[in-house]
Amino acid sequence: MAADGDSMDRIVKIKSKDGQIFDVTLGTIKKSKLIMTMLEQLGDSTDAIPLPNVDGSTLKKVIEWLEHHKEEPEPAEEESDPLRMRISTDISEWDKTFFDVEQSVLQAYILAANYLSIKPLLDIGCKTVANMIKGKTTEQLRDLFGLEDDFTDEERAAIKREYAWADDEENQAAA
Amino acid sequence: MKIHVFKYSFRKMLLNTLPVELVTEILLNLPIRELIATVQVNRHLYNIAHAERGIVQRRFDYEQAFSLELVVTDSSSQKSALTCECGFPMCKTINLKIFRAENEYKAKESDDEYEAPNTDEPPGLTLKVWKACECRKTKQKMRIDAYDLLKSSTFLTTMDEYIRTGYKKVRVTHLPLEEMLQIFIPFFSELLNYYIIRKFKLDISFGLEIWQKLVPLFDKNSSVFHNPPSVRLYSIPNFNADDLFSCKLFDRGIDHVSYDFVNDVDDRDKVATYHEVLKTANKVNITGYTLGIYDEDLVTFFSKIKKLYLCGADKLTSLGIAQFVKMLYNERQAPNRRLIIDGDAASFDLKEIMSLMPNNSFEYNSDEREATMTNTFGEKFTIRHLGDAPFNQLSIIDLISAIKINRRLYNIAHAEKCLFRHRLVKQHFDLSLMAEGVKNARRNRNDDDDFEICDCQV
Repeated sequence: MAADGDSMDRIVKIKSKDGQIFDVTLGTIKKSKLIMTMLEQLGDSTDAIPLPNVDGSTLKKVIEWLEHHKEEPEPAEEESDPLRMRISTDISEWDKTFFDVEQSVLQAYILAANYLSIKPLLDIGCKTVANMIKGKTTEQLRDLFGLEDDFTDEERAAIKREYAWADDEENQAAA
Repeated sequence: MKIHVFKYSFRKMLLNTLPVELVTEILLNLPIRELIATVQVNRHLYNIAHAERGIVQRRFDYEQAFSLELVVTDSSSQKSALTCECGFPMCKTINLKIFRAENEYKAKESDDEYEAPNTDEPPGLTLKVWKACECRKTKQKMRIDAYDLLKSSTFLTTMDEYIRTGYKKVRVTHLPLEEMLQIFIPFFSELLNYYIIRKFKLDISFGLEIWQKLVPLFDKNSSVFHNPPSVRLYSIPNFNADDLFSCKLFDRGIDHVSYDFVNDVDDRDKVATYHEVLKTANKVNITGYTLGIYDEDLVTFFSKIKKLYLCGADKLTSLGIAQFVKMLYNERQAPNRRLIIDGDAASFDLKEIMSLMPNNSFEYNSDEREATMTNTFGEKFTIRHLGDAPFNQLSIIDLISAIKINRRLYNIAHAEKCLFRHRLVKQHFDLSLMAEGVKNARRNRNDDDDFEICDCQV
């Protein structure tokens, strides 16, 4: 489907899993590859597009995010090396505020971005979690994410040996 | 009835409940240190990171830790302008030295100019990032295209090979400064995040103009520096400490600070030369013609410094030193503390320096040029007045230690009319030791053989 010119003003109906229907312009929703694909398949149908994996409150926020970013160009294609270009975790102030939510809500945004295939939203969500991790120790991370240490003593010792090269205290003691 | 209380709320278990491909994406956004911390949280995260053929696993291929030294020469003022051998008048440079962490001890030794008779360079790589001019000699050196730095996963592999095979220098092809910084900043950021950075030293000469362009890089990546950095400043007029030390790089304090001829000022209010962060340093070495350090500054700024050398402290009086000695008496001290003040020797008087001490806390030696003090915690200190010709009072071993402190003292000791120069000449072994040290220091500092900072300026 062509996605330029006047067609950007076309109204698209999308329906959350709890039955809420949202009217959005094509210009707003175009960053969602899933919806664009579905629109291509549905042709001129005016039926609401069902999104059974996203609840209404999350979908409302996703639309808010899309609305705010609708003028931004599509991100350039990634380099062939998948390890590259992921170190920068810069996030705009607006996005920082948007993602300043409880972990369960953040998780819902990330899952929705993944399901709707909105890569920029997904990237920022992942960067937000990465920024939450930065500067923290393993123990602090367990507290932050509510995770149990389920390693056995032997496993813990083996992992400590595995990463000894990165341990400042251990290397200082060796020096 | 037993009530089981879950310690953790399900609402928080973000990393355990997201699909593996999304956790993988999050892990790929992490610097190596945090990645390692995360995979040690639990078995689930460890298994994702170490999945066979998993993409995160490849991050551990760079199983290396480095010590870095960023050397910025910023000759912009007419007074300190340097001339390259090609005739270019403004020799500004940015060099990045990369040492493998297992060699960091050697690298640290080599920072201490006269203390390292070992002339072997530590295995590492000097990346000559930028130079204001592009002279012919530059073109003859091993060099890489600047834009190859942006293909840094390729470059990092190449760099590993350089470092494994021994000390190398690599010249990055010439570009205008702004263009080079556009390349260098993301490259350096990636370097900081892919490797463990064990130690970092910042070496700035002549001005802070280039440094200020790099501040956002260090502010953004300050969390990768787990150990306090070291700083060496050389010949920087109109230095304002806030311009340097307000950077987040120094949030964890500072390890070793060296000021050489930074702001020789009489009026200390003119500029803020001595920043609060200096209080956190293990070792402070300040040299100048007149330091602007007054009596009250000695205790205020330097009371906790383990090793302190002040050369050119002509504003200090015996009473100021007496206050410092009193502090040594009243407070428990770190082991191996050492303070050397080279000031206006004529104004120092040992009796005045000991005047604030209880009589039974110290005793003079026979010629009253030295006192031994025991503080309230039973720790012993020697306070020695070196007199008008301080070096003459020292044993040859102490003399050698003293002139190792910095270039100024070395030059004084080796001046043609120096009264004790003969002592050094007679001690042939020590002389040769120093000669090696000087040679080594020069090579370390002027690793770029077409550029001599020290000889031009001192």
